[in-house]
Amino acid sequence: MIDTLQLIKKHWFGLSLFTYLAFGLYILTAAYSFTQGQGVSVHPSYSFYLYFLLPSFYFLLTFCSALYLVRFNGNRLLPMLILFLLTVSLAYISSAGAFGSDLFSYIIFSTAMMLCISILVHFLRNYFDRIAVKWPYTSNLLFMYSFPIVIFSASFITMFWPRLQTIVDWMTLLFFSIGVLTIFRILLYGYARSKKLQIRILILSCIVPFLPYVFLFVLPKLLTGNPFVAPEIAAVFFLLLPFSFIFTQLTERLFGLQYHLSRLRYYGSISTVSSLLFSGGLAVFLYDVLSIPQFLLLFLAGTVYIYTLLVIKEKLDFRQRKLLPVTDSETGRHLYEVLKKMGFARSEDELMRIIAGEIKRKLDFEEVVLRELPYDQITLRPFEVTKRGGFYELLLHRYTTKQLLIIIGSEKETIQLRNEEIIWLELLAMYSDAFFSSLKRMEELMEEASREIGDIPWVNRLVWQFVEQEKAILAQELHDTILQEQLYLARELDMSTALVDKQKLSDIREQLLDISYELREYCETLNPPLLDTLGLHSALTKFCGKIKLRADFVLKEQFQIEEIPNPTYALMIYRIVQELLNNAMKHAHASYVTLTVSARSRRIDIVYEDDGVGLEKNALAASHTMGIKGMHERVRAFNGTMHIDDRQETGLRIAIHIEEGDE
Amino acid sequence: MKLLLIDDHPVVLNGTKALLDHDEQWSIDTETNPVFALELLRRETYDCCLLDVNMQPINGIQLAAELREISPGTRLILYTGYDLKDYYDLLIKRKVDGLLSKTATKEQVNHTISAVLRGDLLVPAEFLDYIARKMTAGKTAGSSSLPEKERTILKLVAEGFTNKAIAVEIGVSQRTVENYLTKIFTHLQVESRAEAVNKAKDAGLLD
Repeated sequence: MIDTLQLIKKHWFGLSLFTYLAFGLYILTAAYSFTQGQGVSVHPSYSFYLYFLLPSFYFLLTFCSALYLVRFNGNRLLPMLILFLLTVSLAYISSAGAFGSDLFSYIIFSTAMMLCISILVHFLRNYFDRIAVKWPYTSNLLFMYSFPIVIFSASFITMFWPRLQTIVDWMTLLFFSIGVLTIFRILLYGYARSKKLQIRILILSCIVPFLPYVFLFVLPKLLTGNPFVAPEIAAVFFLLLPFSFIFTQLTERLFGLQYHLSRLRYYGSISTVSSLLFSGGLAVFLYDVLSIPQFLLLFLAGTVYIYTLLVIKEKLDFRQRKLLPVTDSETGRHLYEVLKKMGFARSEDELMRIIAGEIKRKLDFEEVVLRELPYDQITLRPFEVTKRGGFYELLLHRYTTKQLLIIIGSEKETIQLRNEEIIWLELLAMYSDAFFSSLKRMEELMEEASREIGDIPWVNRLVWQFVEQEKAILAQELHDTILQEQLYLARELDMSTALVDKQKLSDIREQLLDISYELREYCETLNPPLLDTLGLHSALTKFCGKIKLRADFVLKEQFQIEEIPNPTYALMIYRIVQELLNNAMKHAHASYVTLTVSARSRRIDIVYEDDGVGLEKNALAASHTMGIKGMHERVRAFNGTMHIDDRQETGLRIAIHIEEGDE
Repeated sequence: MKLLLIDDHPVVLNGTKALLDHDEQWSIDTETNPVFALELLRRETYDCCLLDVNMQPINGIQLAAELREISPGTRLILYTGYDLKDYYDLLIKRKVDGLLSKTATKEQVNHTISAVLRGDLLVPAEFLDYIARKMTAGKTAGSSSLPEKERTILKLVAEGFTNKAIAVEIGVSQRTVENYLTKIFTHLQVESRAEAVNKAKDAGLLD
């Protein structure tokens, strides 16, 4: 239903445009015969230029522009522009009769002029809307169209009461001046608010066509009553108005003027020069046979021929090799900026927003949508702009489950993309693809990291391994330097005892050995002894022996260590036992502690039990908890579990379970 | 008699060599790299090897096992700065033929090596305690009276003194206190301070 409606609308729109054109054509022809019939006393050649050549040329220009503009039938500004063109033509045609004091022409002229102003205001409203500048007046502009109606009615009335002529003249002039001033006010206001280049150009293009009329006709007539030139000549400049609009505002988007001009220059020079060389060379040999007009014709035909070939080559180049004859330096710079912006995107949504925004900016076109589709819905060739009906489609990225498309154009508005823009889009799509892939990877990593910040098992494990490595290095250093030197000194003393005071030397020797003993304690705390020589069982037994030698509780330990494939696990178990028993010695106030460690068939179980005060009443609860926490993290680092059973008055039970190999 | 000393600390290595040089019957070679030592043993025959325990990349115990395979006739002595007690088990399992502490005196060193070369064993007497503990593990043993010093220390333990505090109290080093404690443990056939105190109290040794 809606589709049919829109189809009808489209057809109606196309038809109405041609109706306008036909209407314009009719009026022009009518004006011509009218001026002929009136027999205005002017010079024949003057009349030929003013009333025949100029209108015909203007008609052709209008016709061609309108025909070109119809291709972009989605743009809301275009109907306004075409209406404007036609109204200006109407005003111009009637001007001759009007200034020749023909009453009917006068009515049409003044009405058309006023209508021009109204349409221009309306156009400006839409244009401001499009470039996102705030509109200073009410946005309902229908009342603007009452001015031409009033003028038309008033002028019509003067046909019956000629005495009103002067009043109506002044009223028309007043309305007209108000309209013109309003337009300038709007433009100046808009420029003051946004400082946009487009508005500045618009102001200039408005002022320039008005100036001759104001300075050559209106002002002199008001001041002296004698205008410098005939109004019809001054009014010729009005004809420039709509075109200056088209060329200053819409060319960049609609005509790609820059591109066509540079191409014309480039191809033009190539074809003329080669054609000139060819016909010049021919002239040398065929001087007698061919006449000068024939040579000229040859030259012209050659130029056109070469130019056509170059254009065909360009089309083929683009289709086959994505090659453009002239590259726009802006495109590269713009792409650079877009990529820079895309680099800051932190999520897929943000990246999509940036891409859509930048495409809108680059094409100066609002109907750009990014769409997510299931993987198998459409199959587009990657990085290639495809046209389908009024839409352009481009695949940005394909995930395993979905694909991201960009769709340019809609039911409402369509656009004709230039080759250069197609290349820009395809290049952007290639970069986007890489961006989406790396963003996906980044999002996954970030998610993993943010799940439990600072609590990532493999990071903890790595950090712990580094710390242990450092400890081992330090212990080795102490062992290799101070300890060895002391042992050496002790031996030297021993060898000298025969010579001097035996007792004293032997005392010094004992002292040295005491120091070595303490030093060894430090070394053993840093780097567990026996672990890498006699193995975990011996190391644990030795450590428990040390605890028994110092602790006030009775320790019953039981080790069943069958296989530890990885030395890291052995160290981890040793550290946990060290932590558990040191904690017990410092804080537990226990009298009986049992510890069992079993490591077999890739399972590690450590169970600690005491009859102490438990965690709550622990004198140094904070530091104890710290110790427990550190232990917990160490277990987590190996993907193990730790269960704490705090039985308050009756003691503490800690069970640790780790499955090997599931890292 | 050919001897090879293997230790990755040149200072200790030379010190040990100086200790032995006085005896002319022995020709002594030294090696600081355990990997090169393996190569050396493959080419030449030595009567005795002294091996340091803490070496890189192969430690003394691993080296001993490999040397046993390469040259079964060579006597191996483990030479360590750490507690000899830790290695008694190796001795029992005949993985090494002797143990030497780096704190040992010149006499002890020379006698130990001579003994090993003869096929004898010279170890501290506490080795017997170790054996005794192994044999009597779990069994209750009668306990006779304790010497004066040990009694004092055990009393302080019962009062809750830490080893360090006891050392300060009686004016000796912590090492000495812990050596005494080990003796007490052996005597009472216990393994920890708490057990020692309990047992001594039960036996009326602290009165």
